[in-house]
Amino acid sequence: MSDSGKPMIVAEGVKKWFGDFQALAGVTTTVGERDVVVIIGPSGSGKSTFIRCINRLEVHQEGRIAVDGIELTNDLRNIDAIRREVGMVFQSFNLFPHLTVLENITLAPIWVRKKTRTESEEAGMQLLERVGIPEQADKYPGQLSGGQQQRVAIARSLAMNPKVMLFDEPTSALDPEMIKEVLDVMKELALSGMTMIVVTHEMGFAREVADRVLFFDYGTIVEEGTPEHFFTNPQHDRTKLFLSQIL
Amino acid sequence: MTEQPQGIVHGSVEEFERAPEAPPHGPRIWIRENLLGGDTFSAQFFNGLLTFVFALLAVNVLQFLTQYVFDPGRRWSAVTFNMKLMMVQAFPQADLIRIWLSVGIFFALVALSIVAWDLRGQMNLYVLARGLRSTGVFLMLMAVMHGAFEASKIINLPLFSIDSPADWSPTRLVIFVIGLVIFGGAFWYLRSVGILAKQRSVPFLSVLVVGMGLITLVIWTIKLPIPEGQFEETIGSIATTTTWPWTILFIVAIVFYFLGRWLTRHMEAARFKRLLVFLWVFSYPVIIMVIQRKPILLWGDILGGGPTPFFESALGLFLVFSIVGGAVIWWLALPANLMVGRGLAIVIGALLAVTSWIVPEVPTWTVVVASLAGAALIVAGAMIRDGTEIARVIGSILAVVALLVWFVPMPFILRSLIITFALFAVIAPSFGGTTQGRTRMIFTWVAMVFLVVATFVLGAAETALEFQSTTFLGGFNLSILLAISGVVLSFPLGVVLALARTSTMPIFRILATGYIEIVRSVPLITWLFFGSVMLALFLPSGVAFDEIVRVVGAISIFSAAYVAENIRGGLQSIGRGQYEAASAMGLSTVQSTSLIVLPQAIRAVLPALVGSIIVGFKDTSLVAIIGLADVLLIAKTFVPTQSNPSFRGTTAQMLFFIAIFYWVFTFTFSRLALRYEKSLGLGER
Repeated sequence: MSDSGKPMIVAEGVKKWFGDFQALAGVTTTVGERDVVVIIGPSGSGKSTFIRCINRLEVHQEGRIAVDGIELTNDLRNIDAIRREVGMVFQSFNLFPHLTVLENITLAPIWVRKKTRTESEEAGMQLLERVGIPEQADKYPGQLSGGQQQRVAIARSLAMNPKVMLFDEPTSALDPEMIKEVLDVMKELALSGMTMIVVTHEMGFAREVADRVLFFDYGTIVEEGTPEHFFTNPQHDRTKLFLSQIL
Repeated sequence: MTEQPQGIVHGSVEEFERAPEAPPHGPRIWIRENLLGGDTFSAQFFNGLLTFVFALLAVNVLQFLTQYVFDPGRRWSAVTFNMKLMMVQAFPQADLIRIWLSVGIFFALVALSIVAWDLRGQMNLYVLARGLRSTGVFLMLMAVMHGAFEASKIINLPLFSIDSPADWSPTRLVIFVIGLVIFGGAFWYLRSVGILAKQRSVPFLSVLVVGMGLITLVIWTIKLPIPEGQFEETIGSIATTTTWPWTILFIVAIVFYFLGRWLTRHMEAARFKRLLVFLWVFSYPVIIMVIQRKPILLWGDILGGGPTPFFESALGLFLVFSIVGGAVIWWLALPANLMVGRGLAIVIGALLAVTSWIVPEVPTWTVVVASLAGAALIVAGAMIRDGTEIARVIGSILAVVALLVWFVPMPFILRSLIITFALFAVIAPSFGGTTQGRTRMIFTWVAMVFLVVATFVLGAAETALEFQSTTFLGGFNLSILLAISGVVLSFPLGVVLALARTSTMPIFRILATGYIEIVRSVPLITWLFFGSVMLALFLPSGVAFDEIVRVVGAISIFSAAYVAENIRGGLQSIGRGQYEAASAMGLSTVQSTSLIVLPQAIRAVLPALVGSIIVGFKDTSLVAIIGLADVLLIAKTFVPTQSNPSFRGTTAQMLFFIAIFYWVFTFTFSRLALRYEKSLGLGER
């Protein structure tokens, strides 16, 4: 359960437009340290846009976001500082195809954290052990299965020792039999005390691991609560409708 | 009513079956598959007709070519006798060893690179045998076909004739027998081993060594024909012959291959590769400027002493910039550098003071600028806490100071060094990183200073060669120089242009687009004329470049536009996800461009780049039009008109030879590039 220590991510009235289309219509929430927050909702509801705003892959136009006390403004140094502390895992993995698995993982520690190659490679191998594929270190991403690629992507984010991990539908591009291996890694990560925000359609994962579930629709949080609350006693009509369609 | 079963268990497969053996291929099946095609009668009829017509056409072309080549009236001795002229033009006899030395360095580096990048690879025996079989057929056809029309004929059609073997010349018989032996051997091998040959392979290198060995053997055994009334050249030294130098080069290549093997066992692979890249980069100026040009070096200017003070000498400048500049760059690249300002301000001040001291033209106000820069640094240091950011600010200020210095009258060499220093200072925070990274950066810096100083020293030096023409470069030697310089210079420029054209900043985009569109829409020959004739009108008086330099510039500027467009295609093929992943990891724009985007973009357009390199190589022949004595001009004009009377009117033969000559080079290059592309295939997505 959430021990909601100090707030890790604070969002207040975050609004975002793509042209005339309003993607986020005022999102306000706080994620505490070591919290695992799962975001669900129909496609186009703004859930991906919201977590992409947290590490500034998208720029919000109104409201404020702060990560670990650092305000997300146009100041480049703040953005750099936040990106160093926030890891992100994408739906389509986005591994670098021209680098080996180990090179993918050691790239950021070497060039951003300025660690030595030996040091980074040792840490990288430990991470590969943690996600269960140390034997693939010298292969290229194209030679791995989807599930293995996503586990490499998780290891790559962890290599920066982030304080927060963002997951943008990490299992949506995977075959059903590979979803479990990725979810297992994510569960292990959650149990180790990582602060995580996960956008997903895996209700089993939400029920088992989440401290809190946010339901997004039309660019705003329609309902939030514990997994028990959500899956046994949803209140809002939209939530009920959504859950009845996917469960 | 029977009960419907709920489900049926079919069991599982314990072991997969082998695919059925392919049915044996008889001649009928071969004919149907290769000559007729199609599966209906009418399709087979028309396809068969087309096969027949085009086969006749092919045979006819071959007959035309062979008759042309073997016609007794052809004077191929024009080619063989003038080979040296076409290769190196008027390079002095006594110094020919310099040319061989250049080729030797190239061979040695190739041999080492084959080891370092593990380009050994395997050659499939099936493919090899089939290639040999076709070669044998080709040789036999060539021998059969080249009969003259007047001879007694077995077949005599308007388009096609074959004479009786009794009339064959010994050369024809020898070619036929060689073809028969090669064909027979390959045919027998394919027959006896069959499809299994596909699974067998031999190392590519052994094929290469056997090929080179055969060539050496041919050089030693076959004496090239010399036209009547001519004498074999008096042999001054080994360098003027063909046999010994090539044999020695062959041995050099093998020796360096094994040296490379030995080195890989005693050296870290990455370090070996870096060393080789370094050697490749340096071999180019060394071959052109030192080995082939034979410069007269003025040691007084280089080492100091006499009228030149030490700090104005090349060595002095090199030492000052390597040590002082290296120290500043090292300092800038330290990751957690919170100590700012004073120390660095002193260094910059000292640097400019030194410059103003060794070059009296520098006015005192540059020192004022340096002090101002120092003050700005102190302010910046107080305001910003992040070390990397500070280093970047300092770097930028250095760049501005350097630009100001640019307008001050001083020797060109000093300006170049200061600008290079400023560029290194700006990128230092991005690429400094670890101690290892910083060390590498300092080495690059020292190498760069050396390169700049050496270019100026060697460029200013007179050559010691006694010339028969205005320039020491000519023939194929010149073509190769132009081609390599074109690639080496146009590639970085093209990358920069491609990045600028895809940039979000309008000024870069507009400038790059304008450059590319203007340069591409004007023919290369116009740029060559511009460089050769008109450029002098635009340059301020007193500034003059050698004609070769102007031509190299024109070629590089032209091909950069094409390289840029190719790379732009590659940049556009990189998905948004790659950029997002890179920035989500905290990589800076410079880092993600150079580490993530460019390597993938260049890989994606490698075939197109290889294409433009080949076009660039062939386009160097255009310099013949502006009067540079490249291999084409020599073959087309010099040999038939200017040299000895027995070669009058051999233009056609010479052009025929040049066509084959270019083909051999470009074909080999494109094959090698194909191999390289395949070896890169592993990293594809």
